[in-house]
Amino acid sequence: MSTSVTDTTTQVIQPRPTLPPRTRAPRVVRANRVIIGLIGLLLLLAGAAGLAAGFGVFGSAFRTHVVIPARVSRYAAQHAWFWPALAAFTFVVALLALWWLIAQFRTNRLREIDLRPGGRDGLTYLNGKAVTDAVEEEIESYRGVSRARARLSGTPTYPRMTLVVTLDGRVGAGEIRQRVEDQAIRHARSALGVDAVPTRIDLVLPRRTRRDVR
Amino acid sequence: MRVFDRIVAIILSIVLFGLGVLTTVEVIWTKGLGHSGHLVLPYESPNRYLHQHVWDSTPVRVISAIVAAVGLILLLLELKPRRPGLLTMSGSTAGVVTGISRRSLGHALSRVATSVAGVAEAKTRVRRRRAKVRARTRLRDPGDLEQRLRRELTDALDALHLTRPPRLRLTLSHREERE
Repeated sequence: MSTSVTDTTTQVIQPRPTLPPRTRAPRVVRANRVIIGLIGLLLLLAGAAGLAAGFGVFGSAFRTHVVIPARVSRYAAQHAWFWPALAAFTFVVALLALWWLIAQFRTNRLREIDLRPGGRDGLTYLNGKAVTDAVEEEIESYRGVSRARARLSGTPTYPRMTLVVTLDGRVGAGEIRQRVEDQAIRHARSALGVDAVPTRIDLVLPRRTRRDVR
Repeated sequence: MRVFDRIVAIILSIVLFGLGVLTTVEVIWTKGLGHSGHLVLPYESPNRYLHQHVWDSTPVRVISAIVAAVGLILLLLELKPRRPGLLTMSGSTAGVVTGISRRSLGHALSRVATSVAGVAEAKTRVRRRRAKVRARTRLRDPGDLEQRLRRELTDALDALHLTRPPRLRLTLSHREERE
């Protein structure tokens, strides 16, 4: 995911130049793109074939054929498997469409974190909201931050964290980022009892600087 | 685009689900149970229509053209490259990636520009590789304002430690240019 460039004093991590936009369900976003693209391709091919037939590309005789000729009806009537096969096909299409519809309301938000994966003497789960609330509260207490939102995704044994930190312009973005990494993320790791929680921080910089009120 | 895709997905999935269920029910109703006529989906009229119209009839051509156009639009929209995401910052903690949206970076640069004495307003547009700042001053003689402004903007960009900082392009217009 990232490559590192090391100098003599500190290790500077150079991630990829861009991050994809934040999303609640990356798999659904990809699936939507592929399925809608395929439906578009099917419609394009069907429409183009209809136009080609209408303009005589398949032969001048074909353009005067009716869209569904009588032999299709005869074929269906002569083969006993035709109608059950059609019913099975449309039923499968309905099931796939239902799966696609339900997928639109899915989210990859993690509600519980497994603190002792594979524990032989019991299971210990930590409420994900308790962690995110604590992280949000800590970051919002920093000078220069107007709002913080945290969410956990991934699996109960391998959680990932996404932070959206809105700055108010009084403190530089680099300084806030460093503080979030050094304090908030470290505390979250400690609470989760893990060495590393892959984290994404989206910094939102303001249009105007908030003035200090004394 | 993700929102558009989600709306299209919800509409298409409902339509496909409805048509799939109704077609299954109609096949069972007429072919399995031996009833004549439809139960819910009135398919007789479109069926008759398709048995009577030839390929080169105007309605069939129009319908084909509409279907092809809708398919082409959907396909092109999905093939279109997505807008680049957030610009990342170099960091020191493994496993942590920090990003700033181009809009946010534009806000920050506009804010820095307008904080420079003599700059009346500034508009910024950030692309993947270039940040274009258009600043305006009311001074008749801006003097070294452009150099100062460029220095401030460059410092602000450097302070963000972006992995690949966009190239700065600054345009300063003053009152004389507007007259």
